[in-house]
Amino acid sequence: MSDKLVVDILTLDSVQCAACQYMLEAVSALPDNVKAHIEFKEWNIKGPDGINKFLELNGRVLPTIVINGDLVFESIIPTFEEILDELSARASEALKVEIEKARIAGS
Amino acid sequence: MGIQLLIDAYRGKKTPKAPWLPYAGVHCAYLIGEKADVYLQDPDLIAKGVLFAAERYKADGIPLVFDLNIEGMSMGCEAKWYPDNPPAITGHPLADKTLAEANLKIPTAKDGRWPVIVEAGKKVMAQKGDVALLGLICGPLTLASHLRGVKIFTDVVKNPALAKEIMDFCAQVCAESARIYRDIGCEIIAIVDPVASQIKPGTFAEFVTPACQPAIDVIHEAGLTSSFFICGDATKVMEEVCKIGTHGFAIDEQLNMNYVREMAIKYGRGFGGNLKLTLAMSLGILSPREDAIVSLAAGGLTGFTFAPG
Repeated sequence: MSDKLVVDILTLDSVQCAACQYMLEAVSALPDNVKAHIEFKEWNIKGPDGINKFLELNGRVLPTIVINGDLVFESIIPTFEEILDELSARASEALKVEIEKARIAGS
Repeated sequence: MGIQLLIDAYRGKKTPKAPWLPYAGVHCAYLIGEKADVYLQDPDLIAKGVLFAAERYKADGIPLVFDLNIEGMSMGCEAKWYPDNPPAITGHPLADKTLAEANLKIPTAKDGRWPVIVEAGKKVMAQKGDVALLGLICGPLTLASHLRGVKIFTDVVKNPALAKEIMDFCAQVCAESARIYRDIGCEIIAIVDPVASQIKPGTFAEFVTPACQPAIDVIHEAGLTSSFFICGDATKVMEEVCKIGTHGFAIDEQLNMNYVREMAIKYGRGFGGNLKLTLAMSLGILSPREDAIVSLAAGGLTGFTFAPG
């Protein structure tokens, strides 16, 4: 089993909705050394897969960033530091090292 | 009746019935058998689609376009067109450059995508009859997101001077957009800032509220009606939305309509929206008819506009 963090971004549709676009970008624009340790995916609620994921994760609002099943950022786009903090709190030792490198390098 | 009815509701007044405002957007393209990307680049098609949708849906008002990428693309932001959606900004010119380095200019009616929008607007104005035409401006924080990317949400906390510089620039762009819609003849002009629901109330008050004032001044000095459209779960910033200075506001399906109505009445604002765009109109999980009945009952007849969320 992969030890990567699972990050799900629940959206209306990142193409159609600017709030969803930048919630997704809060994850997709993370440095590559951090992204190498996470698996992230957008689930838009316009299709059955997205609806099922929303229900599975007990989503409450759109957009939401979910990390390892926890509803972490609900209708609040995180700062770079905030998302690193939440990833770090759930990270393997290897990812924690990469997150600290990202902090030092800045956004 | 349609224009005045909608203006009265937008200004928070009692109305004999709730006006109806479909945010038809690129659905207008679908109605006339066109792809969104073709439609949005052809003033004749836009005019045809808007007029068709207004008549088909017996609307009291209708937006000219619902596309928050016009300003950004008119400043050179990279974007991708879609056949079934408005385009989406894909490149952020301020991601790694300052305003001065990027040499961004405030787009006028002659720049970028604006000539198509202006020509379409004039065609609609000439034929629309008693239907209010709405001009929708890309709000300052959404525009700042287009220009700077997601970094703007870190800047407002860690680098507020840079965030303020970008927001001040966006405020001037919004004001110019308001002048363009004013000159087209739009009766109502709304600042549409979906991203503004994704920040804390203090951040909203510090950055979004001041950046909206130049556009609001343009609208009100022309004697026109103003609104502020916000999307998402905006519950935490509703108080700030009510205080921003527009005649009214519009919200999406995620807010509690009773709470929103009470807030609007408290501040004397018009309010609208809240029809279940995804759950009912798009996905059909809820009955659109029953949802509409609930919305009309909750909205009441003081300052309420019946509209999608």
